Amino acid sequence: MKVLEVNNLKKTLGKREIIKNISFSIEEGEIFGFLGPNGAGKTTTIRMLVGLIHPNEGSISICGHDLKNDTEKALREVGAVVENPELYKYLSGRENLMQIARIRNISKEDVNETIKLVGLEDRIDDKVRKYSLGMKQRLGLAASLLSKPKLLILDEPTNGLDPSGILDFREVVKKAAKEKGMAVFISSHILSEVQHLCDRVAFINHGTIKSVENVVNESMETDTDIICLNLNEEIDLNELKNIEYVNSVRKSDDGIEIILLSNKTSNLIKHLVNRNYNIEEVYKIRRGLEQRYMELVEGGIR
Amino acid sequence: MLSLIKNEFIKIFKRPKTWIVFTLFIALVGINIFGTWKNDQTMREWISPEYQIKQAEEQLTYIRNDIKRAEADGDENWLNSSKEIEKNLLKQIEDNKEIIKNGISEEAWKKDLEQTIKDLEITVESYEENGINEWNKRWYAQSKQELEDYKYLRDNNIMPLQGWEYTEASFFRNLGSFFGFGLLIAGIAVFMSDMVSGECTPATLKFLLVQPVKRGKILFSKFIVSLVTVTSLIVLPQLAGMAIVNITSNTEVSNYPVRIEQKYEKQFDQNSQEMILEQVPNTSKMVTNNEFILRSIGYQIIFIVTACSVVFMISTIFKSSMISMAVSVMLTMFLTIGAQAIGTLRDYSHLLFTTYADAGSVINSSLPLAYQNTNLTIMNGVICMTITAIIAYIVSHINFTKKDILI
Repeated sequence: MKVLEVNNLKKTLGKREIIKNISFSIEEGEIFGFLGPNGAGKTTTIRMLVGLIHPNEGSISICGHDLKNDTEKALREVGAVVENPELYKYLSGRENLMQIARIRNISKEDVNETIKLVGLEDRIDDKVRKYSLGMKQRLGLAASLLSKPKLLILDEPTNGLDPSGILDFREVVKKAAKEKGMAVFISSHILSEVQHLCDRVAFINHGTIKSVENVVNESMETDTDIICLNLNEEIDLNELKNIEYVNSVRKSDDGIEIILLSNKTSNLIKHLVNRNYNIEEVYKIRRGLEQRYMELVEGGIR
Repeated sequence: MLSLIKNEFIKIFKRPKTWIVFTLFIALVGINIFGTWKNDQTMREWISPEYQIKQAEEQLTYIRNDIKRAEADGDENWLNSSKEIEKNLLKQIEDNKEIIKNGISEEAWKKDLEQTIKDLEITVESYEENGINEWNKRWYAQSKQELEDYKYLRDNNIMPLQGWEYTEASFFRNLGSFFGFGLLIAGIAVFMSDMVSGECTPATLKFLLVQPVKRGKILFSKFIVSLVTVTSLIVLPQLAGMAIVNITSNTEVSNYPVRIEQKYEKQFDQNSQEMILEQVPNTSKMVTNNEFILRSIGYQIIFIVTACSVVFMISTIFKSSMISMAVSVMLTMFLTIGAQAIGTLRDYSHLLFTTYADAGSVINSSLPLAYQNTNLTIMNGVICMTITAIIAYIVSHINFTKKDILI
């Protein structure tokens, strides 16, 4: 079942077209990454998904409810943190959650359960102004999880979390998706975060989705491989460049950096061995998601 | 909706700002109580026989010097008038010494009141005997009105007051004049200008708007809560202040007569050669002080609602609480002070809600005299404030529900 369906979304702010006709969907239990550099349109898209800004064109449907015409029903299925979790500093963490609980008719037991889930039991009655950024992130996550939504939208959720906080966060999100069937939309520019967590990733840049791809075994299929080669003797770089499946060659501090068609590394090794070169080492420089990101978003490989 | 209202109440009373503004308002009320009491004490000292004797003795020294100079100059007229003054001063000293010795009879004011009534009855009769015309009808009506007021005092056994006595009425009037100078609207502007814009920095508004509630409901709950809070925090300390003055004062004024609904017209004054406001005869009515205060507080509540609506509108327009506060305070203060100081603006002051801040002066009809504007009536004020409040809220609603939240 599609929990979120976005069709032909466009948004113009002033004269600038920020979002240019984007479409994607998220299935129940799926963790969907939204990856792009700063200014790519990630937060603008999230703002539209939660009704903070209105699209100029296109539609957003959450659990079958059109966000524009049926806002309340659509948002009832959503838990979200947009950008930094901005909470009322003069209230305690618990009172912040109670503000949502009252609106959404959530019991105190459920509030306590969520507090425990994000590991804030010890500090929940402190004023939020005393919280660290990591604690605010945990409270923001609790706020978004409180209503047990069908769609969880998180914007840069690991900002400010320490390593153990990041691991806890991953566990909570994975558990929510796999055990409770929650669809999770995570916007991030941290590649490793998306790689470790997501089932599918949309690459966005300049307001357009360049590609939506599956993450398999925390990696991703790529068009090319980038390798670093070290030989025991000198080699003319032009000899390498003339090989048909090699795209580019350059010398770096670590050795010779070669971009070649994917899965052709063994062919290159055979080629060099046949020509009596002694290979000291050969290894892949970038792998999976990082490389795909460079291909799609950065306009090629650096 | 109720849960939204409860949330807003929790937020507003947890804000340190609420308690700071409230404390300042309580302090203003306290200072006003003290000021009213101090003024009463000063006036009582000035009219005391001891102070009167001291003053008369000082004047006597001067007048005796005048007599010596008049004798030296041989100026008979000066000499005679100075001697007449000396005689009067000596009598004044004697009378006051007599008062110190024997005290003032508790019934003295009743005799004075009876005499005043008799004098006024003679005046009214003489007007009626000579015929009422275009020239004397105003004085005739004024005398009749005064006669009615004094008879009411006599019939209800109420001692006439000078106006400076330490009573809840003078406390309320003094506080009202502070409000008239823009203090009330400035306080509301400071308190309310961040009701919406304050949720933009930091951007807690996002936290609120991603909940499954219509924006219109969120705005309305904020408006209702701020309205109830501001009204309570302004009206309750005033009532408490009046109760304190009532308990600590020896003067009972609950049934004291107050004139309301007086109408005015502009007349050309030959003496000053300019247009001045004159009372329209037989347009006022007498109410008790309690009724006057009740009406004034009711009117003040309408003013508070309007002021809250306007400041609330400004708060929805700007994203920064600092800017919304600066704009609210400057705009309302400019309208308040400008309407008093700028002649052109004064002519249109009845169209500005800020003019009606001192509700007591609207009810007792002294506001038109202050602004020289005959249109400053109770009804015009209600119409002006109602229209302003409705327009301000509609603008807030449209702005808040339609705009993109880009914070």
